[in-house]
Amino acid sequence: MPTPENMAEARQRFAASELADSVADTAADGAPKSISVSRLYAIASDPGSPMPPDIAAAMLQRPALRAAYRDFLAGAASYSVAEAIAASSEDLPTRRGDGCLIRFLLSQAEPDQVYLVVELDDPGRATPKALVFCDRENFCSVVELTGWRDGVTQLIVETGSDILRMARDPTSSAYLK
Amino acid sequence: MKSIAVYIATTSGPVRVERVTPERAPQSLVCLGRSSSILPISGDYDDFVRPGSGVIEREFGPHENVSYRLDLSGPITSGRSWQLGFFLAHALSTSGRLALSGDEAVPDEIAVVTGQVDFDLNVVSVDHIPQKLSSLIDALPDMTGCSIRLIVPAGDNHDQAVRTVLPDDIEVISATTAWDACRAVGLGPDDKSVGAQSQTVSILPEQSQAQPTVIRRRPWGIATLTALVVAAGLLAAYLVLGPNFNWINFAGEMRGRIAVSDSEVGSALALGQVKFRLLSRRPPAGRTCADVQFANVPPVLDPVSRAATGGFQESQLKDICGLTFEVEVPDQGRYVALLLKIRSGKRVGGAPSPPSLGGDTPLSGVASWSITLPRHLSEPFAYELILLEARRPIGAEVNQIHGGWPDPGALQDLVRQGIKVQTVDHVVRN
Repeated sequence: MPTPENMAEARQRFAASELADSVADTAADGAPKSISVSRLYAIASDPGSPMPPDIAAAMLQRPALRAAYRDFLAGAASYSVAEAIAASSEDLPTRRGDGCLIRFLLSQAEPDQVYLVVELDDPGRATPKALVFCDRENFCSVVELTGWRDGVTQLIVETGSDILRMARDPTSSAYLK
Repeated sequence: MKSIAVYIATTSGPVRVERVTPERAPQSLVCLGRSSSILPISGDYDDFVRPGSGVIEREFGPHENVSYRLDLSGPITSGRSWQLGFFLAHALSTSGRLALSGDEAVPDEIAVVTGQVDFDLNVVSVDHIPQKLSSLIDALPDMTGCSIRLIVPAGDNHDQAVRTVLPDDIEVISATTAWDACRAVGLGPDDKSVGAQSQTVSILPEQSQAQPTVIRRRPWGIATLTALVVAAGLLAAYLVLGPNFNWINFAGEMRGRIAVSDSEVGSALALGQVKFRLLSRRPPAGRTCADVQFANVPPVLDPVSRAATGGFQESQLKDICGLTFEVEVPDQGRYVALLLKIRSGKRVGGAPSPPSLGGDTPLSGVASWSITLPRHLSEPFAYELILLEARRPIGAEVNQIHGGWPDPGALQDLVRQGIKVQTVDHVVRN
C-alpha cells in the first residue's frame, strides 16, 4: 500500500508538472484522460502487476509520469542496482547491487539469445518476482522472474529485446521487486 | 554410424528432443522449439542433471560447462516420465548419434521413450501408457520413413504396450535400467578387439545382464515375443550374481604362493611365467568417461600400484572409468584363466572374460579384459580375481569353478594337479 510519504512525494511531482492529483491527457490516442496517483503506485509496487496499455501509452508521452513511476519503483524494490561500472567494456556489463548480482551469458545453442541471470547473496530472502531496467529518461522494461533455485534464477532473452537494450546502457539502473 | 531421433511419449503425442547443448548458465533447462520459452519441467531437469541429485552429469560428465539446454519440439509441463528419454538423448548426444531436428537428413531410427529413472539408473514405471500409445499411433504418419523402437519400463508398462494394437513395424522394448534403453539403440562400451589376443568387453548393468526383451511386430500383425538372452550376458550374470558364492580365505599355503617378491613390487604380479597387471582406465585430457564409454575414445591406462599387503592399492572412482585386467604370457603353450568375484558394489554391465582367458585355448602374448564402472557407487566396488595357469587345458576346472566358487580345498586340489593359482584383491571407492 502507498505510504503517506510516497503519496505526498508523487503528488508533489505531479504538481510540478501541473497535474495535481491526476494526469490529464488530451492529445494521445489510447492515453487515458487521467491516471490516479494511487493506481500508478499500485502498478509500480506490485511485483506481479502487468503494465496496463493505457498507462504505458501515457508514460510514453509524459516524462513526469515516467519519473513518478520510477520513484515508486525505487521505493518498492527489494533490491536496487545502480549504474554499471563506467570502465566496464563488456557489451552486457555485470551489475552488482547490494545483496544481488545480475549477469548475462551468451547462449551456446542460439547466438541470438542471452541468459539473464539474477543471483541473491542471501538465498533465504524472499525472491523478487520481476526485474526492471530503467534508462536516464525513465523509460523502463520489465521481465518476470520465476523458477528461483537456491537464490538463483535465469531466463532467456533475445539479443534485440528492450530489456537487453537497456542493460547494455551503462547508465541504466535495475530494480528487483 | 546411425543417427537416432528421440521422442518422448506423452499423452498429447510424441515430443521430439531436438537437441542437447552444453551451456554455461547456472541451471540446466528445457526450452520449447529453440525459442526463449523455458518449460516448467526445467527445475526437475536441473535436478536430473546436477551432480548429487541427478544422474546426467554423473554419467556423462564432467563437462567443462556446468549445465545443459535441451530443446523439445512440443511442451512437456509436468511429470517425470521424460527422464528415460532424456537420458537416452544425452547418451546419444555424447556419442554424436542424436539426430538433430532441423538437419535435412532423415534419422536412421526413431526411439519413442517413456519411463522414469532413479538414482541407481533403474527404470521406474509410469502412468498413462494407453493414452501415450494412442497419441503415438495418431502421430505415426508424421514419423514414417524409418524404423521405430518403443522403449518402455519393464513389467506392467511393457505388458500394457504389448497388449496395445500397434503398427507392425514398431518394436516394443522393455527397459529395466537406463542402460537397457541405450543398448536398444546400439549404444554401449566398445567391443572392438585390442591387440591380437586382447579383448575389450562390452559390459552391461548389473541388474540387467540379459538383453532387454524385444518384441517385433511382424507384418502379418501377430505380436511375437522374441526374448534375446545372450549367452555371454547369462554367463556374466552367473559369474556376478550367480550362486551364493562362499568366497574363500586362502590357507596359509596358498597365500605363500602369491607372496610378492621384491622384483614384483610395483604394478605387476607374477605367477610362474604369467604376469598380471591391473590398469585403471581414465579419460584423456579434455574428455570424459562418457566419451570413453559411448564415443569409443581410447582411455588412458594407468597401472594400479601394488599394496604392501600383496594386493593392489585402492582406487578412487572419481579418477577412473573402469578397469583393465591384463595378462601377459611370454611363452607359447600356456593355458590361463581369469575369474572374477564381486564382493560388493556394481559394475556397469557384464560380460565374461574373453575366450583367451578361459583356460581352454593356449595363450601367448597379451590378453586383456576390461570392465566399466558406474559413475556412482552406492557401496565400494570390491572384488577378487583368481588367476589360473597351467601347461594343459584347464577349461574343465574353470567350468567347475563357475559351477560354484571353490573352497580352499578345491583350490589346493588344483595346485596339486599342477595348476598355478593366484588371487588378486582390489577395491574402488567413491
